[in-house]
Amino acid sequence: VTSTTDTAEHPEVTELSDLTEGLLPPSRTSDVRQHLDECPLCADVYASLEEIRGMLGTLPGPPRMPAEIAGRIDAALAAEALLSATTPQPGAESTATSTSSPSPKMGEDNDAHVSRETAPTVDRPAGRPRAATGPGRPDRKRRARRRTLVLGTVFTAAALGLGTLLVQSMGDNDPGAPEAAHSQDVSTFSGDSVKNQVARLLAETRQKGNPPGNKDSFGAATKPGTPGSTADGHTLSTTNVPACITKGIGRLYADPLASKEGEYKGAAAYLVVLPDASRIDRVIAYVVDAACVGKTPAPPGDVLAKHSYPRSTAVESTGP
Amino acid sequence: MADGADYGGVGDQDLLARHVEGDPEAFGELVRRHRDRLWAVALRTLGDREEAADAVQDALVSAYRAAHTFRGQSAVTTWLHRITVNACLDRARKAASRKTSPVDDTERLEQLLEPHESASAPAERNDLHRQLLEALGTLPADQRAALVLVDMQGYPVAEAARILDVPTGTVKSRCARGRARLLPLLTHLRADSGGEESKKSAGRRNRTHGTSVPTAAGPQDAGPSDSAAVKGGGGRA
Repeated sequence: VTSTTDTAEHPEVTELSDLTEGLLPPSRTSDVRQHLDECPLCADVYASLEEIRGMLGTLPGPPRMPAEIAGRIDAALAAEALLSATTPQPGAESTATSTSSPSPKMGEDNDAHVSRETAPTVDRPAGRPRAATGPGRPDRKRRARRRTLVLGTVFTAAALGLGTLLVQSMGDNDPGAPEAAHSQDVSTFSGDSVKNQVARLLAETRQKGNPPGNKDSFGAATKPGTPGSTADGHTLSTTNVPACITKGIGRLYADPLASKEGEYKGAAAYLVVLPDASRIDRVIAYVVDAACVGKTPAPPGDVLAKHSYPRSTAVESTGP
Repeated sequence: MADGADYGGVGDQDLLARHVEGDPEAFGELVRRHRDRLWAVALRTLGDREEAADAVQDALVSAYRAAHTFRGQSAVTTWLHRITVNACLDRARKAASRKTSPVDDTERLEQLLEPHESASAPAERNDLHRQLLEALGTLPADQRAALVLVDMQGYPVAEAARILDVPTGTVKSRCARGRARLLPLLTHLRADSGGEESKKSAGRRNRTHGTSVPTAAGPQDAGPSDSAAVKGGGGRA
């Protein structure tokens, strides 16, 4: 193709546009440039293409994300934090590994999957309590059931997320003997220490890294109980809350976050931590008289004390 | 202390690492740092406020979940943009398959010019912007995304290539094709406005050589929104 001003030889507009980006092969580039020099019409098209580029660059943009959209996204992320907090996977790796280990999943090619939310289940390192609010996605098959556990576990997660230092140190110093710590501490729930007990309980429950089965039995534990039943066996769970204690609290369908046997004002009692049904950022701790335990039929235990704690309070008062 | 004040000196990558380690505030800080730019890209790519909001939300939730897979081979901001643009392109393709152009009515276009522009700019310029955005909405999504990143948002071609996960040459090509498709619009505007330089160039060209010099409506890359603005040249408004 030789360049000429004959109209039949005008380069395509796309060619002119390609020329601006240096996309034409060298030989064609020189031909088209020569044509541009001789053809005012095409030179004008060429200039117009540049003008379009300039116009696009000067379009007034949307200045900032509108506040209501930013809020909506924050809420979605908060919900995501709750969901991911419900899926602790046993068999943890160290957090150090998790941040540096190159996972070939996400790189240059697979992000499309992410945006389509079809990413395969990730092997998230979550056994460590610090990862309680970290990322990770629930196995889809189990998500529905886990949702029922969200409220129960999120408080644990929230408390731990804010109390990472405490949790971490407990885990490192006492990795093998959570049970020992559990029973050795059975003394009092009195006054200020109820707070500390609550925070520590939540931390320990998490620290123990419930084996896979536990979660489910935990979740189902209180379900069979009906107000009139004496189904003690069913209501016993990993948290070992006798049925009469649960009855005394009166929230048969709430999964305890944690519980503990101990003494309160000189008498045997249970400390049971439940989600606050009305406040997502709070937990309620019940101290229930253990006198009912073992009686047949067992009367509901007397609630000796009931405290609501913001999740932050539960943490900040529990320095080692 | 839930705000980003205490993250002042912390880099994006450190923030992401902290998020992976369980810092409940770190990801929020990342979002605060980048959401406005992600929003601008999404809104301009999709041309619809609700769609853009959904796309950014999907993208950030995905990023939240997948943060531990971030390999650090690109900047965090690139990674966030990539996920966002992918989410936008998904939505744009779905919208195209529904046979509705993402940018297809005046109300939506008004949103894109919000807020200062529609109020204070001269009407003529305002109108030009609206028509430009309208024409942009008729481009294939790939071309639109490239133009949004490079021409509108001013990202370097190399960065746009990383975001779009294509070679730089592809980005340039999409930009070039996209601009070529927008050319008939500019020609039309000039012919209509009757102002300054308009007659001497495009108008004359349209009258005398309208057929000999092809418009951008070539057979190439006929996307789902290969519509009137491209072929018609002067058919709009």
